[in-house]
Amino acid sequence: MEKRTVLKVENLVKHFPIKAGVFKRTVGWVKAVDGVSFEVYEGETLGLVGESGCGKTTVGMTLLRLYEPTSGRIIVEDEDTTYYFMPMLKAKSYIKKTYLDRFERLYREKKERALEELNGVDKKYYEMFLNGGKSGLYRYLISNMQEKRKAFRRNVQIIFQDPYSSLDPRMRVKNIVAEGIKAHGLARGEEVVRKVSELLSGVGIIPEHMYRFPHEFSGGQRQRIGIARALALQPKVVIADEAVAALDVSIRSQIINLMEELQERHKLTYIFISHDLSVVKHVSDRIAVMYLGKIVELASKKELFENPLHPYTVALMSAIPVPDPDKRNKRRIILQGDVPSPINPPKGCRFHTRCPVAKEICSEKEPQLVEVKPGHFVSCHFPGSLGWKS
Amino acid sequence: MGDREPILQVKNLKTYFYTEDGVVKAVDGVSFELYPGETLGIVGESGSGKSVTSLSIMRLLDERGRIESGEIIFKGRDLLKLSENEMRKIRGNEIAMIFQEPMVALNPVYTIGDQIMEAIILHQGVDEKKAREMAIDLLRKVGIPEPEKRVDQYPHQLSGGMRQRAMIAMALSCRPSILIADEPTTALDVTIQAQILDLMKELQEEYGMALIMITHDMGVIAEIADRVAVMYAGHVVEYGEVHEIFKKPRHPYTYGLLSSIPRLDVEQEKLKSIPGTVPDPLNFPSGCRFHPRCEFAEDRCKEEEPEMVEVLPDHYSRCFFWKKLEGLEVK
Repeated sequence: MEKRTVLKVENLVKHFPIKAGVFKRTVGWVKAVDGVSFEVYEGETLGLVGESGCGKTTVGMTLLRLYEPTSGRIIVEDEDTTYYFMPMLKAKSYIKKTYLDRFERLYREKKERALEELNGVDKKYYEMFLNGGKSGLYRYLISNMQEKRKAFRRNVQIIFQDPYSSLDPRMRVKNIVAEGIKAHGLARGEEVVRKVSELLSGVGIIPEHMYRFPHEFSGGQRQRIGIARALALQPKVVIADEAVAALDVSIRSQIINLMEELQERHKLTYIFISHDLSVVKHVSDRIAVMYLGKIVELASKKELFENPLHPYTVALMSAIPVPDPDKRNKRRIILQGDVPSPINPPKGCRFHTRCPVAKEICSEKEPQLVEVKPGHFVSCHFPGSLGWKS
Repeated sequence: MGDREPILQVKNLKTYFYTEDGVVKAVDGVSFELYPGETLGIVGESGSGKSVTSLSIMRLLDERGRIESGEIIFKGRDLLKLSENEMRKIRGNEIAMIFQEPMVALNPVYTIGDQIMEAIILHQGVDEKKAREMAIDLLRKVGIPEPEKRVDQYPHQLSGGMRQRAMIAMALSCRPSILIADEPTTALDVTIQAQILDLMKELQEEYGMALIMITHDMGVIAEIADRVAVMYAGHVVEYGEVHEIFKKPRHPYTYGLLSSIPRLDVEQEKLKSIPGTVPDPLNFPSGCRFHPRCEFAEDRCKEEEPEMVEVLPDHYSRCFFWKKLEGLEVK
C-alpha cells in the first residue's frame, strides 16, 4: 500500500532569544529545535519521545505556528504552509527566496529538465512556475491567505497536556467545543447544538452536560472535552502534546483507548508527543527519539524496539522501570550527569558528554541523521555499539 | 516475616481534614508494618491517601488535618502520644523524609550546605566546622560532583536531579532508621530517575535503613519494593509481598491497575481500563469504595464494607470476592 504523506517537516529550527540588560539586548539563543525533519503518513501515529528540554513540545507548537519557526519548511497536504502566519512582508520575502528566485536560477541552468530532480511540493510549484511563470506561481502562493490560514487550522489541531488550564473556566462546555465550528461557519443555530452533542457523546461525555462549566468535570472528563474540541473541525492531523501525562493511571488507559478508537473512526493522523516511552510504544506506528533539539533515531515501532541503534535510545529504554518484579535484575544502563543546556549544546554529537560508548570523533564531528535500513534513521557515528536486552 | 520485629507499625490510622465543604476522610483505617532494612511500597492514585499517611507518621499535617485515631508504634513508642518536643527529636533524626519536588521542599534563600548542616548541628551537637565537613562528605556520597563548591550554592543553581540528591543527603545526614520517600522521582526525567533509584538502593543497603516508597508508578514499585500496600480512597485494599501482588493480585483494583499500564516489555493489543473516575473524598461510595468501578461487584458490595482478609500467607485483600480473581493473569 502506498503511504500518503499528510505532513512533512524539513529542517525545522526554532531558536528563542535570551534577552538581558536594560535595553533587552539579545545575549544568546536557546536552541530548542535545531534541524528536525520527518514525515507523517495518513492514518498513522508518529510518536515523538524525549526528556524535558529535548524540544518535543516546541516541535508541536511550531508545527501549529503557536511559535513562528526560525527556519525550515512545514508542508501540509502538499502545500507549503510555512509562510501562512508570517507578517505580509516577511511572507513575501519568504516566497521570493524559497521559490521565485530559486526557480529562476534553476530555469536558467536547466530549463524543464530541473523537474526531474525536484519532488514533492517543489516539483508541484515548479510545474506551476513553468506553466504560469513567476507571477502565476506568486499569485497562487500569496492569494487567499485568510482562507489558507483557516484551512490550516481546520486541518491541524492539538490536544494539550493539562486539562485544567487548557479549557477556559468561564466558558460552558458547549461553547468551548462549538467555538471552532462557529468560527469556521460549519454550522448555525440548532445545528451547532446537534454537532456538539454528537462530538461529546463520541468522547464519552453525556451530551446533556454541555451546559456545565469545566470545573464540574474530573481530569479525565476534561481531557475528553479537550479531545472533542480538537475533533470539532474534523482535522486531518491531531498533535497530542503529553495528552495523558497529567492523568491518573486508571484514567490514562481510558483516554489512550478513546484516542485509538477515534483514530480508527475518523481516520485521524496523530503526532503523539510524550516523555513516556511505554505510552509512546503502545500508541505509535513509528517513533522519533529526540535529544537536545535533534532527532537521534527514527524508525517503525517494531524496528526501534527490536533493533535500537542509537546509544541514547538504548539507555532510555533500559532506564524505564518495568512493572514486573521478576525483571528487576536486568542490566541497566545508567547515564551519567544531566542533559546539557540547549543554550550551549556540546560540540560534535550532542549526546557525547553522556554517551557510554563515545569516541574522539564524537566530540568533534556532528553525525547526520542517515537511513541505515529502509525506514530506520539514526544519527550516530557508531550505531548499534551499545547493546541491551531486557 | 513472622518472627522479625517490625520497626514501625501503623494500626488503624484515621486522618481526617476538616474543610469548608465537609470532612475529608483522607486516611480511613490504614494499617501496615515496616520491618528493618526492607522497602515497603505504597502505591495509589491521586487522592488515595498515600501522602497523608506519610505526613501522619511524621506528624506534619496542616491545621485542618487531624489524626482521629490509631497508633503509630516506632521502636515500642506510640508517636501519636509524644509531645511536640519529643517528636522533633525523632523527625529528621530517626525518621527522615524526602519529597517529590525538591525545588519546593528546599529553602531557596539558604545554601545547600546550610540546610544540610542545620539537621546535623541540631541532632548531633557538633560544631559548624565539623558539620560542614560532614555535609561535604554527604554530598560526595550522593554523587554530587565538586561537593566543596556545591555546598555553598543555592538550590536554584542545581539541576532537578542534583537537588533531589541534595535532599537525599540532607535526609541521610543523621543516619535515620526509616526513610520515607514521597514520589521522589516523579518530577524527574527517566534517565535521572534511574540514577536516583539506583542511588537510593545503594544507600539503603549501606545504611541498613527501612524505606517507605510512596508512588503512583507500578514500575518504580516493581523495581524497588519488597512488600507493597495498594491504597484506594483512604484504604489499603491489598497488602503483600511484591511478587505476589504483581503476579497474583487478589483485589480487583490492583488487577485493573496492573492491566491498564502500557508496557515496554510485553505486546498489548488494547489496554484494559478501569471505568469511571477516582471517587470524591468528600463523598466516598457506600459499602466497598471501589464497587462503582469494579467489574466483579455484586449487590453485597454496595451495602457492606469488606474487611481485610488474609487470602494467602501474608497477603491481604479488602474484597469479598477475591476468589473471582484466582486464575486471572495480568497481561
